[in-house]
Amino acid sequence: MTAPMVPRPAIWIIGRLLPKADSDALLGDLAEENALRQRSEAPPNELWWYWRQVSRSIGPLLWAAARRGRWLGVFVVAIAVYALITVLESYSGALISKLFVSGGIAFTISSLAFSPIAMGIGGYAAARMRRGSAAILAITSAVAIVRLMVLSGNAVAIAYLTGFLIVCPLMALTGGALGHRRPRAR
Amino acid sequence: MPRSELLGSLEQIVLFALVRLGANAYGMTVRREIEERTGRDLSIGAVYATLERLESKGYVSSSLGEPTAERGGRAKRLFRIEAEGQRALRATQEAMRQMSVGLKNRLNAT
Repeated sequence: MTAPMVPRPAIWIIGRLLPKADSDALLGDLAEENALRQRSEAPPNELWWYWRQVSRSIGPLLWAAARRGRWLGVFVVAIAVYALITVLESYSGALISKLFVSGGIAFTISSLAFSPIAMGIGGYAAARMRRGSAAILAITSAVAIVRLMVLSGNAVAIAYLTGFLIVCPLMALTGGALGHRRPRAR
Repeated sequence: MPRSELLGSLEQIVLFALVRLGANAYGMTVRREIEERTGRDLSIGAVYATLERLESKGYVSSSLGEPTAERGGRAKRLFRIEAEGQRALRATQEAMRQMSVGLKNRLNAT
């Protein structure tokens, strides 16, 4: 009998929410039931059934992960990294002002580039410490940027912050994806 | 009886499924047993989350089985109800019975 195909995104999602042995057992259960359903007279859309199971499992498993304290660590790491980035940003502003002429191209580029790069590195570092924390970092940065947009009320600042709203969380997630990369299973 | 010993409805259903399935109780069989007997289409994640909660309370224990090709080489996590779990199940059933004594006519009236 050939081994059933398990969609890689499903492995990734379940792997984030359960310890390795449990996520393997759960994915094995899904594969086994999927194979059983294919042999029976069940409705033909097995991929739909599979993804419905995975998506409906996220809520209960997230709650279970929070109960066992795993997510507390994830939140702590994400918030600590975010706080560190905020401190570095405030220092970088002063440093960039000293190094470059205000309004010049070097000043503008370094001012704009610092936050996304810091988010990318922060996402990578957070993911290395705790799986899933890069996603929390991305959400935190998005919330902080939206808050700034609401508070600023200035059209130019809102346009400028909209770019950050897209780029910064994306950089945190990209850094996180790189940090999550694990050796291939044998 | 201390309140903490009373089980939630899903916990009771999962424990009954473990009793019924005996040595063949693992995520998939528990999920299917519940679906077949109650018509409740639980997600596999809800079953695992409940089993994990019951295990943390000492009502259930688990062990890893052998990996099989049908499961993509993944091992089963087999669950069994412990004596403490059986006691909690009995206590909850008894509490429900006591609460419903004499209410049959009233419940059927509407």
